[in-house]
Amino acid sequence: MTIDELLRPILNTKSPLLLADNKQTIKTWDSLAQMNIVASIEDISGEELSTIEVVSLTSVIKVLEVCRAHGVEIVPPAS
Amino acid sequence: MNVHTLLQQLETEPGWRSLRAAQKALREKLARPDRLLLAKFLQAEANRRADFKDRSVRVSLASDASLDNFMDPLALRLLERGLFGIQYHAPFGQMAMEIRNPSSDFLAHQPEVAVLAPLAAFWQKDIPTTAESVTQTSEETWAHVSALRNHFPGLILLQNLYPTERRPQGILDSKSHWGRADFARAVNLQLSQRCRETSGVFILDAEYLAGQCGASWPGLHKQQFMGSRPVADDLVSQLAVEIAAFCAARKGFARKCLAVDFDNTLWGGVVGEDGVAGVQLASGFPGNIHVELQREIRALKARGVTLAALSKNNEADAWEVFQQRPEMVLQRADFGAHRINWQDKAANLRELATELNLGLEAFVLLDDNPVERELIAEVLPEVEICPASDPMEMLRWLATCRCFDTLAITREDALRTQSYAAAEARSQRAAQSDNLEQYLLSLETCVEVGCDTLPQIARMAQLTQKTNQFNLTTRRYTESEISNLVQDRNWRVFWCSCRDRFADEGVIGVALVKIAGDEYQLDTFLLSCRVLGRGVEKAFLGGICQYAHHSGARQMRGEFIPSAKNAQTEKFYEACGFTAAAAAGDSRFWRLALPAAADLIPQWIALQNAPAPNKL
Repeated sequence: MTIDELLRPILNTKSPLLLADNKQTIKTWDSLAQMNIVASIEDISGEELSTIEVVSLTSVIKVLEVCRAHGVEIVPPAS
Repeated sequence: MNVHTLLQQLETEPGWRSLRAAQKALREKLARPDRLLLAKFLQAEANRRADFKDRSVRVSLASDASLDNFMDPLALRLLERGLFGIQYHAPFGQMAMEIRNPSSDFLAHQPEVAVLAPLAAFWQKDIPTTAESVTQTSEETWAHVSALRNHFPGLILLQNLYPTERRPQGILDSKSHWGRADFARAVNLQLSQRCRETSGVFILDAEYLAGQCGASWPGLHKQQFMGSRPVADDLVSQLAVEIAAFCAARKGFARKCLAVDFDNTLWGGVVGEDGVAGVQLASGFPGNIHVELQREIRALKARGVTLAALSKNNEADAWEVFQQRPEMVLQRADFGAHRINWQDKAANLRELATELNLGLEAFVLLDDNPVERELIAEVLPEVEICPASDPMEMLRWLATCRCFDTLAITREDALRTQSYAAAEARSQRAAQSDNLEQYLLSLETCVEVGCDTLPQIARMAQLTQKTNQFNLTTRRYTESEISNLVQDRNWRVFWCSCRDRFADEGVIGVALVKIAGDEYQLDTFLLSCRVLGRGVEKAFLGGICQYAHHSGARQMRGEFIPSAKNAQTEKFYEACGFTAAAAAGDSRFWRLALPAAADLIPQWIALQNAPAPNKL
């Protein structure tokens, strides 16, 4: 799965995501979207994220890190 | 399944094909991001495509907390039922205002179904669980329903109180007076009682569903703290299934007939190979599962689902099991029709649909053989198919599929199989008769037409929700909406019942008529398919014309709105002597000057017009 496939349905963005994207650069990345990202990763990994991980999910890089920690292989954006 | 490929297909193939493609995608277990994407696409579909009009359902939801995690699951669960949801979610914290203000967005959305969840965040409040607060909680909750009912006559679903994992008194919870579990049960009992007393309001049973959904933490989950989403996703999914079932019932998409295979379905083994004595039906495992499956099927029949036997077998061998095995719960007479032969099952199902006068979309198939299921899915995609081969899985599916759920179970539902048996007897008599009129006269058909009476309301609402083929306008009404029309002096609500020498069919026709000056305008005219072909529809219309004429009306106006199912009614008004008038939008209108010609009522039918109460 690519990062676009994971995040774009949630963030509702038209253009591909960049590695540097985060809550500040994408205005649809609000707390609701963050919850949906948590739920998506939990769905795919079958594991529950810790509270620290949940709070950290505010950038593409962090999403990739958390996914990797839970065994979910996500293809990062081309840099 | 790559959802992006799917969405591209959906863009280029509009209408039913995209619906089926999306349903197929759903069955293949999409990961959440794909589900979200598909749900968003489908939300847009409902608004964009006119060809889904019949399949769209407008739903408004309001809660004391955030229900935003309902949006996608509900869109997808509706899709599973072949429906496109157009949803409105009241803003956070605005429920009380939205349901009380007649010009609110909640009501401006023109919902067909309103979902209220005033207790979703109940356990987040620090409310003591006492006898007084049971009454106070249920009274306050019901006040929301009453307030909404003042402005909204449609279907209201009230989500009740689901249990919480937190028990301040631990294992003494049930021992103490009004522990939390008892408190929730007491509140819910009071709400259920209120719903039973109020037409058009139903419990959305979160307490039951929380027990069913297997959620690890229905009351203590992360999203509750992250975003004021008090209902856990697992429970939301179950609630969405339930809401979708109510919507399907409201829109007339409940399934009506269960076609069942015999070998390895009704009993274990193959009667042609194992013999009558060898098939598994005893009280031990696994025969006891088949017996339990038969009990489940019999319960469906008791609530009005028609059973059809569909088996590849020698017919005599198959019926012998029914005759000789005392463990059989189902009897031969329980089946409204049967096809037991070696023909392919798709052809047999088509024949059953014709014989029972039902559309294929009314059928559900229960068959252990995946090859047969695949064939039916390919050839007859309208048929809902239980995906299980294992009898235990079949039993689970049948117990929870909600395919057959309707908003009411009436006396006529219980008569249905008897009605099909009568149809068979009539058919035999017709085959023996040389003269059609002589045959029809010999049936001694009696049609009664009644107006503005309350006892028939549940059945009338059910008929508007279920009847698709002989339905001139396919408008759906709830009990409370019809009840309002009965009390409205500008409307007349007609019903029609029919009996003959073979069966009492009960109430089988509905006409809702708006009075506009000296014209009676038929907003709805429908007849159950089980009485078609005997002139009952003309007798019913004739009875209404008589009533209208005696009430001072000078003309009747008929309306026809084409749907995917009602082509057979297109010429009905013309055949009854009406003349075509101007069309407007989808509606085509027809007019008839009163009094109607005497021959509108077939001479072989005895018509009784019940006196109507005066409306002041």
